[in-house]
Amino acid sequence: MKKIFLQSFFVFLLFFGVAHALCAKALSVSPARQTTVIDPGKSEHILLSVKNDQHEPITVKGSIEGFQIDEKTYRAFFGAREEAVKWGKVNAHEISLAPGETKEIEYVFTVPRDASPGAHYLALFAEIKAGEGQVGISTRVGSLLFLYVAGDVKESMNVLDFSSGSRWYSHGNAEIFLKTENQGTIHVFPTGKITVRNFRGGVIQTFDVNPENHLVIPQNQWSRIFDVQFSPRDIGKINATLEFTYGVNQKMILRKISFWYVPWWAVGVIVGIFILFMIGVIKKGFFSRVSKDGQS
Amino acid sequence: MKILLGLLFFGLCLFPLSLSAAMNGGDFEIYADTFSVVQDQLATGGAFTLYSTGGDPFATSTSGGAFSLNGGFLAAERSSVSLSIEPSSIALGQLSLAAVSSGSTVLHVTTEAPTGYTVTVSADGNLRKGNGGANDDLDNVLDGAVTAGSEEYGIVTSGGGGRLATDTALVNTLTIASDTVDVNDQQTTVTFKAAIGPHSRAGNYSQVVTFTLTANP
Repeated sequence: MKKIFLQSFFVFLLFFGVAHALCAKALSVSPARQTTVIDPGKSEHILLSVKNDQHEPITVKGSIEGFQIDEKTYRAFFGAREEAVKWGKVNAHEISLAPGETKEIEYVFTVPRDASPGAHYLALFAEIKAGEGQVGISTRVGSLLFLYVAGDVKESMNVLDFSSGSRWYSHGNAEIFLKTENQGTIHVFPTGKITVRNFRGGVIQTFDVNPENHLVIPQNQWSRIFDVQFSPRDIGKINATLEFTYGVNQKMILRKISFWYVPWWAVGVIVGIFILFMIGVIKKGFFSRVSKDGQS
Repeated sequence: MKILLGLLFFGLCLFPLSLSAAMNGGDFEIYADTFSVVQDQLATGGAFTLYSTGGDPFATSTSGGAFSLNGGFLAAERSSVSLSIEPSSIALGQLSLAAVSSGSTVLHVTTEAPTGYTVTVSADGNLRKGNGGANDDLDNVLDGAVTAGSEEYGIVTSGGGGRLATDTALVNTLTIASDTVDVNDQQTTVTFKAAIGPHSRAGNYSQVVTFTLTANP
């Protein structure tokens, strides 16, 4: 009996030791995204709810960083230069959480009196320090904060490029490029469509400009490439029309481009017809001269 | 009524939700206790409510169809982001010329944010010994594969929202996992790989990496 107890005890110790070594770092924060409008000269208290999801007590540190949006992947990347980071402070630099416990970290943002109206993009982070090990792992979870300084809003997008890769396509597809830039003071969600028509006015394809509903923050560029597929009945001049809209008032930008779709086999047919026509003209001219010579 | 609906529409545009989701009753709410004065309820719909403060709405229509924002507006999406990393450290063991050493950890991500999430990883420096001079750290992998007998170090992901298909150098900030929709316990395995060459210096090498999770904007 004693032997069984000791064996069980050592198995328990071994399990506990392994479990401890393999413990997880688990952290939740909410809300995932939030937004606020603050008057110049005023302050706002922003709360971040933090939960310890693991089986051990943890110490969590709060921090603030600015973010930008990668123009290719549309994901946020942090550590970007953002003046609003200096406006914020974390009231409690570190908080302790028991297993399963939830607490709030309070962030206070004070907007300078001379701050210009506009949008600022911030992340409020809660971080657990790295564990011991050859490669120690630190866990950081954040909430995105869209902070606006109160005042007039300027919504402005500019189409930098709406073009095709070539003026003439001989194969069955073409690419249309669209590049825009947000020149306003607030982010926008571009919408609209591109309609591609053949020379008879028939619709070849219609594209939704922004089906994923990506947002474009100020000073960022946003671009897309659209692949158009042709059929033989589209041979000839192709027209593409851009109807680009954005903002609360749905401001619209219209652009049109044209290019040609003439596949090589069609070129061959046209050249062949031309050659046959010229042969016919030359023959007619030759026989006409022979006939005149014969009469004379 | 038209003005109120217009202001409601603009308020929804402030928030970085897709318009269609917001108009269908997207999940965000006001922290009502942050307002010193709560006045008339402007509008309700679905899972959101908007209030004005001190008599001024959060947005005012000015001439020419432009808008001006008023302070005191605060809205939050009713969602969370959760990251669990198991184990919380990596042991690569004793490196040898004959084989690549590796260690893995699993990321568990849960979020209700409709835009999905992204996890990035950054390091406090190279995998190094001491202060990590030019000869005291392991070289980063450059050819997509950590190879035995060649001094190389990199990471790779598998499963879930993994974004690193080949062995990748841990420089700058790397996106290692992401998705474009809400997920529940999406698991991604992150494997750290190291190999030494004939001229690699002996010693205890270490590094601290930080995994960062946020919802996508």
